[in-house]
Amino acid sequence: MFELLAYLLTSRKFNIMHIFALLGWIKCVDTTVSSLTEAVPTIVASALLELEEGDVVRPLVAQVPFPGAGVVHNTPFIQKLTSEADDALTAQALDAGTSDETSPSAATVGVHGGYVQLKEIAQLATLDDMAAVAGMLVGQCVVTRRDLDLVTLFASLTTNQGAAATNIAPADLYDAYGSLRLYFSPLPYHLILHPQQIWSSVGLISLFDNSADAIQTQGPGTVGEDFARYGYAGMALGFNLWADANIVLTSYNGSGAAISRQAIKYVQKRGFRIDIEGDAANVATKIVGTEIWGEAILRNKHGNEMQFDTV
Amino acid sequence: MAKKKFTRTELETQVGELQEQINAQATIPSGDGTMDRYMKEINDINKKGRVDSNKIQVIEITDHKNISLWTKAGKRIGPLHPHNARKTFELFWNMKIQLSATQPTPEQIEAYKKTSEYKKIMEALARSRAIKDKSRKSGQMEKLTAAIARLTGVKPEEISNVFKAHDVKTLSDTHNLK
Repeated sequence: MFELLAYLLTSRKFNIMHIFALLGWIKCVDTTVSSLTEAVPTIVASALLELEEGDVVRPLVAQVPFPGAGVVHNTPFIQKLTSEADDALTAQALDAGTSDETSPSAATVGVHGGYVQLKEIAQLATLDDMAAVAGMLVGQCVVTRRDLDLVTLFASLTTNQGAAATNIAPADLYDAYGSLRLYFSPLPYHLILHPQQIWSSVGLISLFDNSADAIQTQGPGTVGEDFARYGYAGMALGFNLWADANIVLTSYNGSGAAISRQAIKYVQKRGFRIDIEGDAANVATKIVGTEIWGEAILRNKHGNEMQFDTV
Repeated sequence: MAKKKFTRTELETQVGELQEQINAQATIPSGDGTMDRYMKEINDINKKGRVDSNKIQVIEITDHKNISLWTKAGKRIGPLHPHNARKTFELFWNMKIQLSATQPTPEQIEAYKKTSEYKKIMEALARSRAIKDKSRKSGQMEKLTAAIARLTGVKPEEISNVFKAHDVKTLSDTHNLK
């Protein structure tokens, strides 16, 4: 034993502290993990808000300011006159025809908004400006509400080019364009679909795929070229193409629309406004964002429902 | 010392008392340091207690309640402003399509799908889709190939027969060059 100790000491690879540790006379103490963790601060990055679809449909429809008195905005239709086809003199008159539209188109405005009850403790305790976050939440809520009110009108259009359990075909776009043109809809025409009605194995993009098992294009400058290169085309068969995720899908089926501007009217009574008031009882601040608007089908014949599957 | 004999009734009474003692102790077990017990108590604390200081409540406000209309086949139209819903109902009624403010049950939908009215609608839709779906890309290449074959007197398989990579012979194979 002593010879071993002597060898270890003389070998100069060990010192007396090592020997004492080997003998168990001392213990080497490590810093514990827990104490280090408690000393290291946790850095919290700025919060990210959950993303939502924006204001897609409103810029595409007829926007009607409606200040002043009244809550119902009526648009009456005057029927066109048709000339007689008969050659007889007595029959050459202008007669009132039948209207293709349902008169009047009435939109009732209502209050839409959202409010956030921002607790003072939350505001004091967070690094982010919670009042700004609250404002963004309220703004997003109002914008989504408006887009939803507009897209849910699509199923009210009486002409439907699709149906349940139906995939989009090129002829649906031909017929939609023909229908809009037949009733004198002014250009531009817009095609608003759910993203999965555009980008899916049965979506619009599949109509421009030259082959079932390869991505090919029809050549430079074609719509197929745009889809193959960018995954998107701004126009297809005469329609400006828009994707709106606020279109509701039920059983992988949803109702988009092919419209001209006057298919729908959006009537605005008052723009977006933020009101702030203290809520002393709850030690909070109420941030209220509201807007007053209404929407209605204006010219039913200037829009076609496009009800198609996504898978 | 003689053993005391217990009657059946006395034994059953003792068993009942012992069971009650066990049950009473089970509600507040002591010395049970298992992970299950730990997680159970933590979950109970989270459920019974409440902290709202880290919550931001967002509430949507509106002065009207939207309503959906339903077709007999269960398709939803809306939710719409009540005035828009009334207008839509009238519009479709004039087109002989009856909508309802009440969602049909699955049984009602199934029953409607067996009616002659639904079958007529589906037949008309099938005829329309048969024409429209012909316009899809599939089949067009085959039509073109068949037309070329007819004009040239060649078999369609020879026109569109594209070799796979492993079937393609190199120049040396073709001319038996060594």
